[in-house]
Amino acid sequence: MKAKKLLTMLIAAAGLAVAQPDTKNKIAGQISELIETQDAAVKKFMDEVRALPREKQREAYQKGYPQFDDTIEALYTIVEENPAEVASLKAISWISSHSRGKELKPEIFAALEKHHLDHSELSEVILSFYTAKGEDTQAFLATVIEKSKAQDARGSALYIQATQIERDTAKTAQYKALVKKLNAEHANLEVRGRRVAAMMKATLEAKEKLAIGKSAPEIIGKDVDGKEMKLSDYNGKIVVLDFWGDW
Amino acid sequence: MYPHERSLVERLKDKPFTILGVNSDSSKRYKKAIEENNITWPSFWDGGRTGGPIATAWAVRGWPTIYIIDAKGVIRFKNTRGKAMDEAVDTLLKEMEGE
Repeated sequence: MKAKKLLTMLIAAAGLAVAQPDTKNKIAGQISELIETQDAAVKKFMDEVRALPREKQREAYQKGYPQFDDTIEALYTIVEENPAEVASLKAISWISSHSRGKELKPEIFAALEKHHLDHSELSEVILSFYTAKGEDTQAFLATVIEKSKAQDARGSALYIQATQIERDTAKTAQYKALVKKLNAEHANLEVRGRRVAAMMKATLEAKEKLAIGKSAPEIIGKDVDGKEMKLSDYNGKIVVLDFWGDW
Repeated sequence: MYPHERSLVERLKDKPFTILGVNSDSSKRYKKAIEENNITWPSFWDGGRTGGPIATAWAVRGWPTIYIIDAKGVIRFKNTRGKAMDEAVDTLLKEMEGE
């Protein structure tokens, strides 16, 4: 079944290749085709799950979520055959963001360092390392920060280093140093349209204000019916302040 | 989450204690959640999104996030859940009774 699916996808990709004789386009086309086929399968699945009654959604989600393994392997094959192609960067980003924290293969890091270290699109690849915390990833990030001539790639590498340790209370000093460096050298770096250096600095400052032993800042807000409420309305009571959502 | 919080509220109903929510759901979903889960404690409604003004001011990046604040308004515990939440609240109640 798996092999058949893969074959079908490869035939589809090959069909596209005939229409576009240029090699670069062929590779880019194959990569896009694989990604689009998989993304379409996920979308179709999600639409089906959302149509189910809410109490059945979780089970259906766990049971039938489309597997990425075949697509990841097919993309790896293309990338390994065409390590110097810029189109491979898109495939590498996709692999990394769909590998659930698993590191990229070592030869991919080698290819990135050899062929794409100074490429502006390397930034997007690095941003897909959000949950990949292995040694090879760390070594690669350090290399980019030290050697890349692409400003945004260096900024993204610092940003990913920072986000990976943000919640590690043993690394607070290191995190603060990274946020400081980001603000000094990469104030304009945007991730998904947001200037992250300033955002991280604001979050850090807010956290320091909200440390254990500090006075809770006043909250003035409204309940869902529009009635005004204040945190200080509960002075004299112990308050469990619970940021919650029903999701 | 809800059953534990319900039992805590029930157990401490005569004590100087409250759970105060900050809810990030859409108003429709929030109202439904209150009804379905028998939520009796008050909540701020944070504008229907996770990046709402209260969550932003409190630097909340993950849900649920819990702060336990004593009767003087001082933050005493963070992200204390389950049994540890009960113990934290009991500690603070004892402190109040000792004063």
